[in-house]
Amino acid sequence: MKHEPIYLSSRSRRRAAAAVGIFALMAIGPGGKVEAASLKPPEIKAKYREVLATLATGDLDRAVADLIDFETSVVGEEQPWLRIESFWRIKLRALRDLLKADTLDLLRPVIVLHSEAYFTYSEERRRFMAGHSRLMASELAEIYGFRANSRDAKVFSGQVLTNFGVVLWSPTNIVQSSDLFLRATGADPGNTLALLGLGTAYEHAGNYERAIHYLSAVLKLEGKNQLASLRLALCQLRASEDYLLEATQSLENLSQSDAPEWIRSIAYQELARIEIESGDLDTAEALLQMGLQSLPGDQQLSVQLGSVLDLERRPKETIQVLDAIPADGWNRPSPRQIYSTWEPIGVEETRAELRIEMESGLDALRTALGSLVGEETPQ
Amino acid sequence: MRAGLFICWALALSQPIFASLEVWIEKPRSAKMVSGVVEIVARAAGDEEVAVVKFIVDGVEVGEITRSPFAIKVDVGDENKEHEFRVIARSVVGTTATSIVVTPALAVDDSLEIELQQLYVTVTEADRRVLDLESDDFRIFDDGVQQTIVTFESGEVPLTAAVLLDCSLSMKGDRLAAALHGAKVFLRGMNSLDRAMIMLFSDRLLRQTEFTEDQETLSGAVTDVAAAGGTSINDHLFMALSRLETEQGRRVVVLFSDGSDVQSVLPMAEVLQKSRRSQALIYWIQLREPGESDVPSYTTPWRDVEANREEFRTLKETVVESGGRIEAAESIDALDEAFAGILSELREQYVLGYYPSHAVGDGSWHDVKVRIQKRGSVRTREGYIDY
Repeated sequence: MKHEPIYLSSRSRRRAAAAVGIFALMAIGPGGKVEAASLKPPEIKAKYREVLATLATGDLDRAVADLIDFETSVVGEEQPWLRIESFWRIKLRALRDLLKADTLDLLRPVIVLHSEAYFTYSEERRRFMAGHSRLMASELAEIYGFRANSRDAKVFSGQVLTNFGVVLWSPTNIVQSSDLFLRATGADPGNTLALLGLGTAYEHAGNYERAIHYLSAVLKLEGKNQLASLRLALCQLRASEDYLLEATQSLENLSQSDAPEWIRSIAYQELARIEIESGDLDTAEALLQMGLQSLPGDQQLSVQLGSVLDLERRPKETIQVLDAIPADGWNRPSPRQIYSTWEPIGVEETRAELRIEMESGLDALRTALGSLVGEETPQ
Repeated sequence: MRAGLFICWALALSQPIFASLEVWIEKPRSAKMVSGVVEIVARAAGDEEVAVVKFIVDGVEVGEITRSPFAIKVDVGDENKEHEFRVIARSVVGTTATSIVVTPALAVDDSLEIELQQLYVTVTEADRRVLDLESDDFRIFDDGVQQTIVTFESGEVPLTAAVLLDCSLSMKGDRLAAALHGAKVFLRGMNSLDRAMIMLFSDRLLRQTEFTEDQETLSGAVTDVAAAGGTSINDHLFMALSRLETEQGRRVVVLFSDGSDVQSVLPMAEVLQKSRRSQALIYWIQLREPGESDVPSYTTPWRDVEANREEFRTLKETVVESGGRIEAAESIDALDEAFAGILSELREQYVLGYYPSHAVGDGSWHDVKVRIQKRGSVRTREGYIDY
């Protein structure tokens, strides 16, 4: 089966160029001062094939080590951005040669190779090369997901892209992650972690309707996802009164569920908030008392109850409630802080899964490399 | 405490003395200070018919009434002092009965009746505080109606302060160290009658002391502090205002924070309501980068940009309305001065007290304006909720 050669889409080219520009502004990590070797493109391509040959034996760790040595020798450690773009093109040409001969599944181990190189570079704090590896792996994963046209390929692609999104996730910087999550859901619309990440990112950006779209999608696939349920209810409350009944029902369910304490606390808080805003202080008080019975010592429930009692002109009880709050919260983040700083997890588990899943592409890689033996390396 | 004892005394003296003729004073009969025109209302009852009721204020007979209702009005003057109201009823057969009520003078640190409004007034002219004003120089307008000033103090009036320090992660390092040092400067500058409590917070309460004048306790609370977590200004401001309500005299919140609220469960609008019911001054030392915009332009997991702006606006409104101010510090080097400046301002305030002439306890908002006859501009709280 023949495939079209791999070319970077114009969007990818822009992204790659932008990445070169961005990375050029970054300080590179500590390390030796390996100077770039003055290799010709055919030599670079040949050396890259050698790394791929090592990978084809199934020895991923050695292949990663070889790749890093090879890349370092080509671009050097001083100002690697000066040579990275041409290096990037040569590697893609080498892969294009391989794809003339075989199935796209050979990309599986190649994607994992570059993904693992990303983690190694990151550990070594070589941020520029880490960024390059991530870009290489994510571009190949996207191409594989879209062109391989199989469910397995799409899931694999989604996993790779999502894992990078997870790694890059930060509550204060969600742009890069969101882009990766979006591409992951483009490859695999059933990737619930990417959908949850997108919903959360849109919520953080204040775009509640988009957040509702993605969080609803999570719940269609995983009806018992309590975090998605909480986020959806909160986004609904902020988006429109039309969602009030649905959101209230979800919060009531969560408050009575076996969800983590911080989720139940927020459910009680938000239910009470609904009642306060409707002027029903008695019901708000009852909800908060119920919440505190279930979650004794919860500061945010106590403060909210104190405020309700104060609004009811019961100052002595307000003070009693507030006085009961322990002043030792150093190691106990509040429920709303946990909600604010939620980070997706599972990076290591996904890496382990991908290492196993890449094996189904090793045969194809070996075959493709074999078909090139004796073939003159094109310029 | 003094007021509480007085109530018992007043109630005891106003009980009937003779069963055949009883007299008691209905007004004034609480422990609150009186001034200006006061209505004295007495009731008399018993087996014997009342011939006359005499009214004596501060030892001077001010009138007598021979038939019900036994009520007269008398001007006791505007001076802040104790007054004795004595009523003597005599029956047609010569039996007498007496009732006495003594109203107290007010000291600034007394436990006050809720109706008394106290205003902490800062007067400045060309960035310098004006310190030589007298009671007569001030005019208080409550919803546009001029009020009678019944208490007047200036200079070193004791204060009770709640010092709130934001110890969230964004304060890590030099910022937190400078804030803690600034707080120590504030605490060291306190007088022996001043009291304070320390509240260290992030998204949760990290450390808190009782109100105390003990420097060791207070300084210890701002030592060995590590930054942690997010920021919940609203919740902790509410807690501080609530705790201050248990204290007497001049109450002050000094809030130090570099940022806006993210994780509070209370909206700032609710804290504003709390502040309006309180008489505490709120000062906010806001650490921000040089040239940094004063208007939030970010979203948080809890609020979009507009909601964050609204929270920020309301916080500023709360501070200004309380009669305090926002001290923008654009460098950590400016923090000591900021803390010391607040203390200095508090030392140089006038404290004016008045009973609102049209208070009805309906929960409505009263606009307050203070004007001075002389030079300078005036800053004080902008109003209160009438309870």
